[in-house]
Amino acid sequence: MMWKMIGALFVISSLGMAGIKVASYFTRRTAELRLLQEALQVLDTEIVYAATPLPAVLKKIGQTGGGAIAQIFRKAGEYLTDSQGLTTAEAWKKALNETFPSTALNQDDYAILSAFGDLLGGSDRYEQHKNISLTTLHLQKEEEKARRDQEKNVRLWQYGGFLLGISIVLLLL
Amino acid sequence: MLQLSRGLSEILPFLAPSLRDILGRLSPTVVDGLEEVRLRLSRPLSVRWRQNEFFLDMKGELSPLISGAYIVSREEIQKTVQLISQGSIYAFEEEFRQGFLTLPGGHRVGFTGRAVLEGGQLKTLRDISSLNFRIARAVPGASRPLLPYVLDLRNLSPYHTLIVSPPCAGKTTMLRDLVRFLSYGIPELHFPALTVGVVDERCELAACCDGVPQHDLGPRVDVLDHCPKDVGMLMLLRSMAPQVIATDEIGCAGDVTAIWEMVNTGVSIIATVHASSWEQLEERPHLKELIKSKVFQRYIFLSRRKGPGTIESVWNEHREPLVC
Repeated sequence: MMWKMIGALFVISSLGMAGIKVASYFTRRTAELRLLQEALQVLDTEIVYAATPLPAVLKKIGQTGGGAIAQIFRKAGEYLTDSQGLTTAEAWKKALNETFPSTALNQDDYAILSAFGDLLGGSDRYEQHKNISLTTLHLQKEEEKARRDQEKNVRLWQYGGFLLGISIVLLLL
Repeated sequence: MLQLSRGLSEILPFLAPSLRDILGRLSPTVVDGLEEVRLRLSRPLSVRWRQNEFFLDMKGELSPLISGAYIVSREEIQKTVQLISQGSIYAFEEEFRQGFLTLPGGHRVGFTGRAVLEGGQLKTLRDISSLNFRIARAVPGASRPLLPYVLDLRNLSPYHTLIVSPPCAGKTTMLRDLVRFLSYGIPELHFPALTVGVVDERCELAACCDGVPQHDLGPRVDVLDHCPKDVGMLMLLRSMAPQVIATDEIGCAGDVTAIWEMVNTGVSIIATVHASSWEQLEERPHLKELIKSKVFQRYIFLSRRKGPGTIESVWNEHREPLVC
């Protein structure tokens, strides 16, 4: 009986934790999309008003937070200055590819960020502003979708995991 | 002091990696006399060495022949443009409009490409197709032979001086060295240090990078970087109380007007101009009046006859030769 109890608790807690983890993915994605927009806002200000070169701006943004989003900017800034001879697009893509697995972003978000990197730094301030604005707009839309997904799915997964665990335990008993 | 070998190693990080490898194989003799590195899209990689242009092959060997020369690819040009602009074209809009930018160390990169016009004015250059890395060199003491002619030892100020030379004959180097002498002072001639204002419109004289002059101009120099000469000279006069104002490549009407305003303010002017002879100098429409009115008290003519910076002659305001 004792072992059965332990087994049941194990099944319920494992599935419950898995559910919480999936739920947290939805929350994290929304937060990361918001962080990305904030970072782009800083980038826009630095480019349009101060014309600060990218390595300095990217590193500055990278230092403002410790999360995966800040890491994309920080790494891209480092790759631009490490004398490997990478172009901005290459440095951005490399940083994005390395950091993407540790984010909660999905393939749509990846495509937006990848397209953003292709044009980053390669034109005048006006064109850069347009690229940043367009990217921000796309990210806003993704954030709205992510928020809807979050509302729909977070509770479902948070409780669903435990409920599934309990159901399995009841069936087995 | 800048040395040529240091010059090449300072420009290498700004070249596409494949080009770095080739230039890295240059022999020390070539590196020592290297003046320029030229990249032209789909054409041979070339260098200017000891006043002649040579093509480079994969092994970094110099040759006057095109056959076997390394052909510069579009990707290499694009990477190099990215590297010299730190991947931030927007941060160098003015430089791209002017067609050159300055690298740390004072080396200058000139470029050509497709001009983008706006309202008939050049807005920027796109699709860069040629780059010319000019390796900067300071030649401390280059202007020493000129000091007895340029300095008014009675009034302890330099004469209004115009350095006249064709391109690449060392006029900027000479002016830079004069500025350095004035800014440090010349104890052996009992000449005191003076405050010098430099208007560096083409960013060549002081070659500032992030506000720091990349050439040693001495401790008493204030640099107005990227500023039009006519505006800059008057600005310096009002704001920094200089005893000497130095500027490079005068010639347009605005520059001449500004010089007219300056000559009676007690500030000495030292400037350079493109020309090879008195005839050419007098043909420059705006300079003619300055010469006729004896504004400049010393004219120094330079050439490349015995290498850049060869002093051909020195004249006074009455067109009497002091050195010939």
